[in-house]
Amino acid sequence: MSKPELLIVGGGPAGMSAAIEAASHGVRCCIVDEGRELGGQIYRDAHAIEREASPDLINPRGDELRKQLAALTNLIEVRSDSMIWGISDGNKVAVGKEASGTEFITPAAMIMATGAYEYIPPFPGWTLPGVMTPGSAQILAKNLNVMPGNRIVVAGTGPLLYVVASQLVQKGINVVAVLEATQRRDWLKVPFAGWQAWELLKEGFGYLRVLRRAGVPVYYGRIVTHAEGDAELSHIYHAPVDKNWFPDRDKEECLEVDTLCIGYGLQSRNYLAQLAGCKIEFDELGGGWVLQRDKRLRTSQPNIYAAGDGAGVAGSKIAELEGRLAGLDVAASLGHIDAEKLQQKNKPLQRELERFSSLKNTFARLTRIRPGLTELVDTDTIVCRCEEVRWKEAKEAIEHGGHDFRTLKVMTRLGMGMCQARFCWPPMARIVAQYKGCDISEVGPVRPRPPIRPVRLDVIAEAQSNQTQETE
Amino acid sequence: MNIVVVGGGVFGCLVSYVLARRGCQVTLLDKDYPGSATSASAGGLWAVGESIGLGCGVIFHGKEGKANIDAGPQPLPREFMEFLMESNRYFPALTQEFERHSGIHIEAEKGTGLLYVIYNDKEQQYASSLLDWLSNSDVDVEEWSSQQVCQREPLMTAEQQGGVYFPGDNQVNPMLLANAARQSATALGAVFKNNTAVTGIRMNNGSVTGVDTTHGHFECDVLVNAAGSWSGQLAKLAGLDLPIFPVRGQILCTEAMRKQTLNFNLSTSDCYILQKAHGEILIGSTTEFCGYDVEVPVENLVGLANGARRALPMLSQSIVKRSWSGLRPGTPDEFPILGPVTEIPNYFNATGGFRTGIVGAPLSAEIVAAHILGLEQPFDPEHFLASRFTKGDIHLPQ
Amino acid sequence: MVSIFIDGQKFDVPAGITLAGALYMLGKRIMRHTPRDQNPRSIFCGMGVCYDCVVVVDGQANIRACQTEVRPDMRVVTQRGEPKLEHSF
Repeated sequence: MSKPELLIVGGGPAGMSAAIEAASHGVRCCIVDEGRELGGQIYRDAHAIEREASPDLINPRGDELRKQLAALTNLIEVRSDSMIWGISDGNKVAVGKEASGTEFITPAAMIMATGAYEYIPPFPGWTLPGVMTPGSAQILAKNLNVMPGNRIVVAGTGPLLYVVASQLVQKGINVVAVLEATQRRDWLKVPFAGWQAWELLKEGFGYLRVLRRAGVPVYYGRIVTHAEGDAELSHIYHAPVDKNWFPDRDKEECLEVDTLCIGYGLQSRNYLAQLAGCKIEFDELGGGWVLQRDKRLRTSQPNIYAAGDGAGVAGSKIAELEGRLAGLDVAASLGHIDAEKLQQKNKPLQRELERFSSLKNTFARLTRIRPGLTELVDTDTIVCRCEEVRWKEAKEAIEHGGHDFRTLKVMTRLGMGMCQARFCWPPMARIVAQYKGCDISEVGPVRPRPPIRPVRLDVIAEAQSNQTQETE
Repeated sequence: MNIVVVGGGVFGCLVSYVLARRGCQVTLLDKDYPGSATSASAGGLWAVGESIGLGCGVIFHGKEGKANIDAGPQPLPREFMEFLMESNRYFPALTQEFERHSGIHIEAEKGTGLLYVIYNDKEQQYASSLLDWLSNSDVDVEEWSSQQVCQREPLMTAEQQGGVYFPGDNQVNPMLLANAARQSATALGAVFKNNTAVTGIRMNNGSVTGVDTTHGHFECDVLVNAAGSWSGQLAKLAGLDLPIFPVRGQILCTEAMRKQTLNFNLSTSDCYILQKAHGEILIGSTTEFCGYDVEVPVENLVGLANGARRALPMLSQSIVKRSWSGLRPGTPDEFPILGPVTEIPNYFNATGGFRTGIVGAPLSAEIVAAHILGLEQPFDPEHFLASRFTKGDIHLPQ
Repeated sequence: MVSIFIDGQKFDVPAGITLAGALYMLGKRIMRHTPRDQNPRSIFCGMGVCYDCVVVVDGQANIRACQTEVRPDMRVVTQRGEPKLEHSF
C-alpha cells in the first residue's frame, strides 16, 4: 500500500471507528496497535479459549467493527504487534516492531486513539499478589478461562466494577462483595440523568441483576483501606467513607479473601500525544490529565486529532462516535469530502454524542477521585511499584522541596521504572498537591520522553525511513 | 559575608557547600530546583579521558560533532588535564564529608576506570598517538590487547582490537552529588530557594548590591554566577558578556541489570557506555548546538543504540527504558569560567563546566571560593578567568 | 495443550493462553521477587502497562507474562532481583 495519509494510534473502539469512517470516504489509513488483533481493551478479540469457554460474555460489537474494517482493507493498513515509541517534529512517527525494527512514518494527519488504563491509589498491601485491577481479573476469567481466585472482592468505583463482578459471577467465581466508594444515594441519580442513553442503563441494570440473583452484596460508600497477607493476599480491611471518601477507621471491617480487584475508574493514556506537542490540562471529570481539544476534536497540534478515552475518559460508545467524527473531519481536511457532505454526515453523529453526554457527565461526577483516597498511604507503603519507593522516602523528598515529578524522581527514583511513572505519578501528584496544600496543576504531569514504552534496543537501532514514502 | 549564588547545578551546590564550610552566609537561588540540569550528565569522572577527547564518543575539541580520526588526536592543553586530575582527587574526601553532613552516599565508584575500545587500524594509530602524548606525564594508563579486553570485559564485541585503559577515570552519581552538596551546605547553614528566577541585578557604584527575583529581592555582598547554560543571560543583567552557549547531549538508559554486568566505563568512536550503581546502563551522548531545546529527537537515539550494540552485542536484547537530554554550559575553549571579572569587584563566575562539569566541579568550587575569600589558590587560576576571552577571538558555534 | 517449563519443572497448559494465565492456572501467583526488598509480585494491570508480572523467558529477562503467549518448550524462570542477561552467555 502507498503512504498512509492518516495514521491512527490505537485499534480500540475509537481507532477502529475512525479508520472505518475515514476509509469509507477514500482516506488511506494506517492503524498501529500493540495487540495481536484490533479491538483494544474493551473489544479485545475473543481468543479460541474464550469463544469456547465464555461465548455468552463476548461483546459482539468488537466483531462487528472488525468486520466493517476488513471490508475496507484496500484502504486500511493494520500494523498490529507494533508500538509507536517516539515522535519528532510533531509528525515524524517512530513505529517499532519486535524483530523487525523501527520505521519512520510521516502522515498528513494523525488520530490519537490511545485509550485508557485503570487508576489505583497506593494503599498498604496493594503490591501483594492477589491484588489486581478489575480489567486484569476480567482477562483472566473471561478471555483465558482462568479463575483469578476463590474468594474475590471487587472494589473501587465506576461502571467497570459491576461489569467485571457480574462476569466473574457468571464464570462461577465466589464474589464475596462489591465495595463502591460513592454513596448509594448518588448512584440513584443515574437513571434520571442518563435516561437518553437508555441502552447503557439497561446494560447496567443487567449487571446489577446478575449480582443480585447470585446474592452478591454491593456496599456503597465503602473503600478498601488496606490489605494483608504473608506472601500473597489473605485479608482486606474496608471502612465506610464520608462524601470526600475519608474512611471512618473505627468502623473498619475485615474480610478473608484471596483476590482483590480494585480500580477507581480510568485515566487517559496520552504520553505519545504529549510527545507530539499536544497540550494537556487537568480535568477531574475526564480522569486526570487530558488532551486539550477543539470542537472538531483537534488537539493543540495542527493535524493531530484525539478520540475516545485517550483524549479524556468517556466510555466506548462515545469513543466510537468521536472516532467517526475525527475520521470524518480528516476526510474533509484532506479534501476527500466537501464541507456540505461533512456537515451532513457530522450532524447525526453530534446528536448521538449529545445523547450520551448526560450519562457520561453523571458518571464522571459520581466516580471522580476524592481526597480521602490520598491519605491511605502509610509510612512503609510502596508509592512507586517499579522502584519500590516508600511513602516515607517520598515524604522526606517533598519536605526537602521536591514538589514536581522531575525533582521527586531525581531525589527518590520514583517513576524511573518500567511503567514510566504511569502508575505512581497520577496518584502521587494528588498526594503531593494535598500534602503541600496546592493545586494539582502546580504539581504538574510527567513530561514524557522517547521511548514512551520500554522498547528493545534493537528496535531502536534497526531504524529506517518508510519505504512506501519513496514509492509514492 | 552574605553571598548569593545563582544556579543550583553541581557548580552552584559545591560552591555553596565550600563557602558554607568556611563560615559564609550563603543563599542559593535556582529558577527550578537545584540539580535540574545536572541530570543531563552521566557522571563520568574521566579526568584524563575527557582531556584527550574520549568523553562523549571520540570528539574533536573546540569543533562541532564527532572527531575525524584521520586528523589525529586533539588533546586539550596539558593544564586542563592537570586541573581535572587534581579535581578528581577531591572525590574520596568529598564522599566522606557528604556522608557525614547529609547521609548521602554519592556513589563515587572506584575501580571502574575508563576503557577506550579500539575497532580498527586507524583507531589503533589514534590510540598510539594519544599514548605518545601521555608518555611524559604521570597519568596511569595501560594498553590492553584484544584478548585482555575480552577477559576483563567479557561482554565486549569480538570486533575490538584492544583498548587503552585509564584506571583513574571512574564515575559518580551526578544527581546524588548535587543533592549531597545541597543538603550538606544546608546542614552548614546555607539557604536554598527553589523556583526563584533572577530578573534583575541591582548595582551601586559599580558593585552588585542585590538581585531581584520572581520571589522578591535578595541583598548580597557577593554574587556568584553559577547559572550553567543560562549564565550568559545572568551576566547580561550585570552588563557583562559571557561566551557561554548550551550544548545539548542525549542519553539512552536501559533496564536495570545485575551489578557488574559491565566492569568499566567504555568509550568508543560512537558513544560512551557505563553502568550505574542501580544497575541501569547509560549510553551517551550526542553533542548538539541547538539552543535551549531539550526535546529528544528520536533519530538521534538511533545512532546511540547502534553504537551501543556494536560495542556490546548483548545490549541488542536489552530494554531501553528512558532517554533524556540536557544542556552542557559550553565555552569556546572548553575551559570553565571561574573567578572575578575586571568590571565588577564583587561578582564572580562559577560556570562553563561544559563536558567536564562533574569531574571539574570540586576544584572549580575551591578556586572560586579562594577568589572570593582571598585565600591561597589551590590551582593556577589564570586559565579560567573570563578576561582570557577579551585577548583573542571568540568563535561561538552556531 | 502445550508443554512449558517453569523454574525447571514441566507443565502442560492450554494452547493460546498467556503466560500469566498459565501461571495463575497452575496456582503460581508469585511471578517475581523485587530487586530492592525481595517482595513478591504478580499480575496487576493485566494489560502490559505496569511491568509487575515480568519473568525470564528463554533467557530474556523482564518479559511481561500478561502479554506473552505460551510456546511449546518455553523456559520460564520466575525473576529474583535484577536479572542477568542470560542469552548473552
